[in-house]
Amino acid sequence: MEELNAPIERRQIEVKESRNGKPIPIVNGIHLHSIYNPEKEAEAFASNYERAVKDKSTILVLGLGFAYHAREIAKLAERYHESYKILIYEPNLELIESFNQNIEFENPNVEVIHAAAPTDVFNDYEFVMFLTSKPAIIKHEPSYNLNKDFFKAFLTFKAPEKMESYRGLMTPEATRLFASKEGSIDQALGAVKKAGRLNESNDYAFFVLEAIIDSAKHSTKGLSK
Amino acid sequence: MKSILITSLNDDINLVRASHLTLSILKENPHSEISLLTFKDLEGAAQTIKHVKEVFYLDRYKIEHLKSGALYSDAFALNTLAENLEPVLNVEWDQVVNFSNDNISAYLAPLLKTKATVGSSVSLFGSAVTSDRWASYRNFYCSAVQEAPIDPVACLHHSANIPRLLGGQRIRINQDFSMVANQNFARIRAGKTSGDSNATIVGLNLSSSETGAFFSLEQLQEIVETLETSLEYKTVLLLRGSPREKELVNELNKLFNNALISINMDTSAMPSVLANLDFLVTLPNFTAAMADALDTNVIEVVQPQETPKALNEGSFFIKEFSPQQTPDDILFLLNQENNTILPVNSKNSDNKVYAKVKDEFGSFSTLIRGAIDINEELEYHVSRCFHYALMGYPINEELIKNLKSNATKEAISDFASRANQEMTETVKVLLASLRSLKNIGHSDKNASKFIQYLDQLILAGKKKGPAQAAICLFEGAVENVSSQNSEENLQEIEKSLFTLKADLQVLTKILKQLVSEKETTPAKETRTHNSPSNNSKEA
Repeated sequence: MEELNAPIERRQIEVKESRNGKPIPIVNGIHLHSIYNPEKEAEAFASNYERAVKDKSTILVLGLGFAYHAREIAKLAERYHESYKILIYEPNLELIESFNQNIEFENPNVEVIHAAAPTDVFNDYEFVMFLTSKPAIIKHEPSYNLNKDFFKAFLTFKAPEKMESYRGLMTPEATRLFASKEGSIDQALGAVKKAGRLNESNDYAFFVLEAIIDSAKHSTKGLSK
Repeated sequence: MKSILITSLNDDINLVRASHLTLSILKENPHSEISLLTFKDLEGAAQTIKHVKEVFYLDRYKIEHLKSGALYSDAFALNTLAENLEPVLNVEWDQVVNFSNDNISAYLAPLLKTKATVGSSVSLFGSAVTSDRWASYRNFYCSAVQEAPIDPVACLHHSANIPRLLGGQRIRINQDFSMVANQNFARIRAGKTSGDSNATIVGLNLSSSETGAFFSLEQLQEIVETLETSLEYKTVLLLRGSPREKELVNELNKLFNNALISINMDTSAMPSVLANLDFLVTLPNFTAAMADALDTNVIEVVQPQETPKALNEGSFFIKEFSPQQTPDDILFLLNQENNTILPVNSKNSDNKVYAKVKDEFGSFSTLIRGAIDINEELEYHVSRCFHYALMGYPINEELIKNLKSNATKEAISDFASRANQEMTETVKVLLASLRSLKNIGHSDKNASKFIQYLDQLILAGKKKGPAQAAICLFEGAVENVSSQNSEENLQEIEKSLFTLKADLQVLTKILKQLVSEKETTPAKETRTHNSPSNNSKEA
């Protein structure tokens, strides 16, 4: 489990037993799973997403609950893919702790991630690389509704474009190669083009980047056939 | 030990062509260590190039995805690029060669620690700086025309001052694939024998051209039918796995009772297959360039707007104007090369069939079938003669003699007077530029007039014409002007204008010799700039 930040707020968590004897979490009075049979409910839930799981080997689940739904999604993924990866994004740290205490769930392909602020995860390279695989996104409705604002902010996130806002995320190699500029990369390139000359040798790196992007956009992917 | 970095950041065709240079460098400087910088998505092609110590990759699609996605911080794109470039930036290179004349390499070259850059790069002023006149020709002329008389690979060899080596192994052939391919092809060859000799194997490559064209089923059917019914030939269908190629194989197999041999080649297996062919019939694409690097004879079918990818002597290309005659042209070439008598429907063709041949200057294309357009021929050969003269070679007297004996006086005179007329316009602007340059100190008006004439002159280099290459070289010289002192810059430009004037005089001389009644005599003079040393000719 990856802990990126401190919890945002404390919520009252209660753990009850379902009618068929399975532990289920209740957060601020809201049941996150069926009080009768959470496993059966999870089976039905996962079957609604069978097509999405078949098409994608990477899946992002919004909301952990006690992961009955995630377990069923993993079963489906196993059926369709040799290797797969499921990330479960959960904003409530106490719920994660409670899940760890109450549920035994070992699957190396499933990982729970947590961040205090909804957009903090976008600073994490591993998570960003996971997103570049264009995963299927599955909302666990009770968890989603409980944290609507959090997940909404996550789903509508746009990365800041100004260089000064992401300088801290740059590696030492990148910091050496790309001199700090005011505004975004595109604005910096525009300013150099307008000036008609490069200000310093480091400006070349921005043009290299622009030319690479141009080449990727205009090339037919991979080898010509 | 010389450490050389060749950058090829364009496409797989350019990348495999770099193998011509790597072999030539190794032959000339056996202790060189050659590294290659290319795209990650071209890794398969890069791994086939022999004589390369290390290959560095730029993951362009990852960088583009990270930069373009609104969700991702640009920091990740910058980090990826920096990580990709780090090992290249850390080495002190003796020479960096911008092989494919691409923008990425041109902007990257000034960031690298190198003693010399070969080809083009970008100056702090944002202008294209070229390492010599060959590189200027490559950057300013070759990129402005569809097919230059001197090919880009030859230009690169001259710029690097390396003789171009013909023959020798340029491509790495996987030993396991090779053993299997050799056995299979020996079986195919032996399966169809004629007298004492085994069959000639013709590979029909079904991959599309770089502009997306395919052979038609009718064309393929006609070629396969003729070759399969002959005693001397055996066809092998080659594909790289695209749906259209598979469709063509299925349709052909239906027509030939599933008796055809087809080979699905990935990039690593391709060299073993191509090396076993006697001829490859293909459209202009990566497979053509790979076969050329392997010295396999190539017959390319190109659309008028396409350029052939095979450069070697012994290859052919058919400029296709009449697709239904293409099979005939291919059979004609096979007959000519193998002394066979495959049935050819027509003696003539509306297509133009060219052979790649070479003379003491380098390789060139010569029309061997199809209607001769005398103007086109004169333009090509006179341009080639002029372009080599621009690079310091003597005027090719032998060629002029040949042109005079093969074209009518009227055609030559028409061509020369048209060329002279077109050149007169350029000369007028050139002289006006020189005049206004001399008066530049007198008033601002003169300065703006000079810039106007200069623009006009450079614009003339964008138009097709006899003087185009010379003007492109002039543009290259102007772009290379880099002093901070405006007086020095003007002196440099004046010098370049005089060089252009002298270059145009060479063209006038060639045209004069062409129309002259007298026999041409061997040239005594050799131009001084960038004179070719012995080793700058093809080996």
